[in-house]
Amino acid sequence: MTSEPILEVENLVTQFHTDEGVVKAVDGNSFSLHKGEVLGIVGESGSGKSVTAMSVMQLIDKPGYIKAGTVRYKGEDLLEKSKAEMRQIRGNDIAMMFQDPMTSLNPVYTIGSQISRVIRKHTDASKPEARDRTIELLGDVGIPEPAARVDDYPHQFSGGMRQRVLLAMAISCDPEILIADEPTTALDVTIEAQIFELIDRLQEKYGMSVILITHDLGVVAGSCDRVAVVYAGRIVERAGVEELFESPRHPYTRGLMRSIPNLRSSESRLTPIKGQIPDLTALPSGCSFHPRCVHATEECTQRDPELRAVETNREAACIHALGYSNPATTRTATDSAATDGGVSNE
Amino acid sequence: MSTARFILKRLMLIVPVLFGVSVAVFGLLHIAPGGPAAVLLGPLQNEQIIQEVRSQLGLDKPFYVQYWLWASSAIVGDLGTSWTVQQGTPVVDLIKSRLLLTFELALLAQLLAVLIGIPAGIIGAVRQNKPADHLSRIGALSGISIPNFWLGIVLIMVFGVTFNFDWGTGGWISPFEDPVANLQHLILPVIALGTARAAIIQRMTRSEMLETMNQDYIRTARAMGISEREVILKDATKNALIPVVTVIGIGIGGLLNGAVLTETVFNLPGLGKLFITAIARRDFEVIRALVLFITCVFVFANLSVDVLYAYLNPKIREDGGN
Repeated sequence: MTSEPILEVENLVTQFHTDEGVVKAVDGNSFSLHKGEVLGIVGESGSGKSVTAMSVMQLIDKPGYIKAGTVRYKGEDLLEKSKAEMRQIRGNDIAMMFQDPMTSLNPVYTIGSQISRVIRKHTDASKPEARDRTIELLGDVGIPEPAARVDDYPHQFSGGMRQRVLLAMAISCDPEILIADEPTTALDVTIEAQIFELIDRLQEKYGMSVILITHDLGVVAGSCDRVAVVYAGRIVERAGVEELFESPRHPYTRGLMRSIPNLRSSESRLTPIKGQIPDLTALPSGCSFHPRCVHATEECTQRDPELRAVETNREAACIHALGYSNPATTRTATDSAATDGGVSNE
Repeated sequence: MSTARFILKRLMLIVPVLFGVSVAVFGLLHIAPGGPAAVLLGPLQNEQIIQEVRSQLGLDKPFYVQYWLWASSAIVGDLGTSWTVQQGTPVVDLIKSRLLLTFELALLAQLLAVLIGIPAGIIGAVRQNKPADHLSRIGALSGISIPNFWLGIVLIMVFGVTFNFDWGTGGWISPFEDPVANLQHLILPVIALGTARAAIIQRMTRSEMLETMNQDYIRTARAMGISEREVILKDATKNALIPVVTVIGIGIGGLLNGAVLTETVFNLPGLGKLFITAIARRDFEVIRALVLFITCVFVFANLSVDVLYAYLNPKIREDGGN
């Protein structure tokens, strides 16, 4: 990992104007991505993970808009770029693959033509060159007999194969950054493993940096270097993947971990996080997690905690950050952490 | 299944369709009041002469015998001769001489409808809820609401009466005689007939485009740096046009119906006008032949829609429309 980040997002605020009010989908988030690194962004559905990625790509549709922040790619703020400049970056420098492979490919064009045109858009390859490169890419992502299948239509492929095609499209112009937005949510578990293995392999081969958006902590553990945990539009914890799984410092992260099934655990039931993700148009006062938090105190209802360093290289946005060495405020928290610790990660 | 087999199968379906339609028309004419004999004889008629003429025309025979006599010669292409519209002229010749006009009118009206309807629909969808969209929607609503014969009359009043253009009141000049005058005289009928079709196509295109623009593959294209123009014109339009093609195809058959009124208003000697005259004068031979002809046009229009559909939608191409 080099010291200079390739992508730096600072205080990103993305909102949606709806009839019910302003939805703060991304509320002042900051994160950075280094060369060759895999950053996981984890959270429940509706926590703003995808909106974060779409904001980086500037693909937010009305009624949404990016209200504030900077997105610096190789030192330049993407939010200052013109539409035409942004189009040059999309697909070429930063590429993205999406959740649902079944609907993410255009049904009326062959997969080959859909990949080739991206190549031709961003390079000066001729038609035959783009086609050859497409066949090569299809082979790279593990499509059997790529030369025979390049002229097939999306409906002739299974979901897993379509996601491979989308991955081939995403890496077609050798992007610096690949944003994978829940790439396997629509696929079954065995295919999921294959896709992640493939992403890992291609990430090394092409030296890409990857932002992996997921709600699946298992995926994070398997693929990521660093993790940002998102709750209600905010990053609540940032850490290296090992540190995070060893000792989650935010009660929400801990809650997520306790809701993962574990074959070795003697507990017969999982412990869900009580309650529901709050309405993003009317967030609770203070810490937005406090209504669901087992460690919440009076102070949590009033003060909105900032993301702060709790150790070297890790941050949490919690007044009672678990394990944080301030006995006065975190005693109860650490106590309870000690008693219920290890349910999922012994 | 190959495309050829698919087309062949569809063509074979035309046989039962034509049989059903011909029986229905035959039956309806059989029970319709007033007969061709009364029309032929004019004011000089009595029961005895009418019966005589009826037996000459074969109308005194039982229904199924009449049908058999007619169908057996129709199958070999002999559709009989006109009774009352133009006595003695073979029906086939009557249709042939009027075919060009009606087809020219219908195709030009369809062309106008497509050229206005599709771009207006796309613009409406892309500029949703902006002035261009409102304008396009108001235009479509008016187009659908205005009956084509009324629009025809208004156009005649404006261009023919007020401005006194010599092509402003209708009439027909063969394109082989004078192609420019031919088109000139068709301007107003084409507008009258095409407006409602344009409106229907605009609405369909707009709603299909709006739906398509929200699809995931549109987002994929945008995320790959494809320009908005290409996303709209290439990615979205080809998908959105699939259902629009159906509307256009069915409309070709429908245009023949619309031509009946338009041809009457603009005094054009086409199939529609022939149809009206034949009905008024109870010329059964002409009516039957025209209905069969229009049925064939419908079937072929639908068939071409299906073939075009297969071109546009690879999924259908794959399983041959099953």
